[in-house]
Amino acid sequence: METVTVTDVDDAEVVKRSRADPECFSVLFDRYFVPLHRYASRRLGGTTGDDVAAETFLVAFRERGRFDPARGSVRAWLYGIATNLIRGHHRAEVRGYRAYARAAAEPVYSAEEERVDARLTAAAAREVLVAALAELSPGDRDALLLVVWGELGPRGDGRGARHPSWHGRLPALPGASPAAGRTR
Amino acid sequence: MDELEQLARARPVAPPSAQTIARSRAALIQLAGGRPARNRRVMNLRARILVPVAATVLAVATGVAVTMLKGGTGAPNASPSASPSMPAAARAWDSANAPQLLLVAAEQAQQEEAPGTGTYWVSTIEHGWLIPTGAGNNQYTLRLRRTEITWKPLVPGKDVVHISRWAGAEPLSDGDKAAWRAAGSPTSWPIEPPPGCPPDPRNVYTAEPGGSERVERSAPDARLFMIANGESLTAEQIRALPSDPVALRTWLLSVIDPRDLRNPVETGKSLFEALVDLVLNTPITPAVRSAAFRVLAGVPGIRSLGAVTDAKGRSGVAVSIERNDTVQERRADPGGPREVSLVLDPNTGAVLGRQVRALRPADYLSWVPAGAIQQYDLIEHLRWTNDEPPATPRITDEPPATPTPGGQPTTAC
Repeated sequence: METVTVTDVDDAEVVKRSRADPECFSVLFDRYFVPLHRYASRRLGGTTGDDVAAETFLVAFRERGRFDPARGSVRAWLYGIATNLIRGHHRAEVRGYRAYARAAAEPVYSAEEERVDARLTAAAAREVLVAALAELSPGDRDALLLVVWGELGPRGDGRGARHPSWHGRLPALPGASPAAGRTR
Repeated sequence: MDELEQLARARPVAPPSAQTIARSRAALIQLAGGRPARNRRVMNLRARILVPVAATVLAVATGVAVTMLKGGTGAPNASPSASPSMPAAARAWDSANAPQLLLVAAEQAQQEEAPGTGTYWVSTIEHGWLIPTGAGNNQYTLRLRRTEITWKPLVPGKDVVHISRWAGAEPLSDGDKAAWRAAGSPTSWPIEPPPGCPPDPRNVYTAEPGGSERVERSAPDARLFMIANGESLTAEQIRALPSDPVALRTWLLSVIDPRDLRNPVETGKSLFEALVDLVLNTPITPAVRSAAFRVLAGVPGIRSLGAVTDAKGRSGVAVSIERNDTVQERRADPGGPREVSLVLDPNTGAVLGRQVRALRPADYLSWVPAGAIQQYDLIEHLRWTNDEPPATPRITDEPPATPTPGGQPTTAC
């Protein structure tokens, strides 16, 4: 069963009320712009991330007449809109992941050799993962990133993010042993 | 799940700058302010009025109507009304005929001179909407109004300036006035706090217009104009739209979300809304406006409301479409069917605005009086200018957080 939080109910109420009183929609902006911006920027970076975050609310506002609380939370709905908008930029997104992984592969020198070593191991694992994002199909990438970057759990508040089919599609990672995974 | 943990920490990003937040918020507020409102009764629904028009205009209009009907996009209500054999002086235009009404407007729009030009395109639009108020058994409906003035630059290096001016509130009908008197004739009404937030006594709607203006200045997005549920266009793109109705229609169908085009009824509604956006909210040239009216004339499901008086008391004619009247639409929005209309000045082909009338309000709108104009956007002026907008600092810092009379709480709580 889904857990319906108080915020979910409140958010749905805001959408409903905004149909008659449009201005109150800004409440959702105040609640969700920053996390949505984080999600969009991690996927797209730079001004495109800014634009997508802003556009998400414009689209949501225009679509507010169609929001159906029975189909999921407002939060999931907003992330869904952002995801659709991001998909329109998928070439830039993929280029970004590859560029990020290349740039991150440049070694960082530091006096504290041991810690550098640990950091590099963890960082290397992340680079490989980010680079691997570029190879996923758009649908799989959306499903995966909604969970790990959009913080929409695959179960809990998973309305809107189905259990993704990316499982097992990420490459085996040399640096991603349990120990490395817990390195901070 | 170690990969997921790793990935969750990969590619961290900086939080949005205050300016990004402010600019994005301003865009939303502008859109939200720029949405429907309206509340006077549409007069003489579907009345037939006789408007003398030049014989040549009518002849051309009728000719085009036939062409469009042949194209398979004719409105179901279309009926030829003015016989070509009538003497020119007595020739009249049957306003109950939506396609014809639009084609006449198209002709008028075409008479307009060269497309405007200037540094800024300035629109002044009054928005009206309704809210329920009162206590206990003494509930009544308030009409709220706000004037939104938007300066959109059409040259690089200029800012968008948006000015929002509270335009007052009043009880909707005579019955509402009686209830208002019974409530002690209040001159301000509390703004209901966002769900989950405590009430803030400083947030009120006032009967009087005025109070502090909300002025927002921000660097423009390249894509200033939004139509059809999210398609954003630059000023250049708007100015370059096709003035051929068939090409314009094809273009619109290419930018409307395909999910809104699944059958002829939905297509008609989506086209109608996109065209209304276009003629109401963008600086299209007179030739494109004329083309937009011609496309509207062929939108399935369009009806004429005949002569109407808009919420600002101006005479016009209106064409409309019903929204929220299908099973799918009602599943998403249980508020009941409504009639969305485009009001035109028949003498000039100018657009007066958009009004939304609640037909059989239900569920969360059940407090709306049936037949009331629930929302409107009425144009006061659309103009081009080389003047500069009022000087005001760009938004660089915090979004405005101080509540103002007639204002809206600006934070999550």
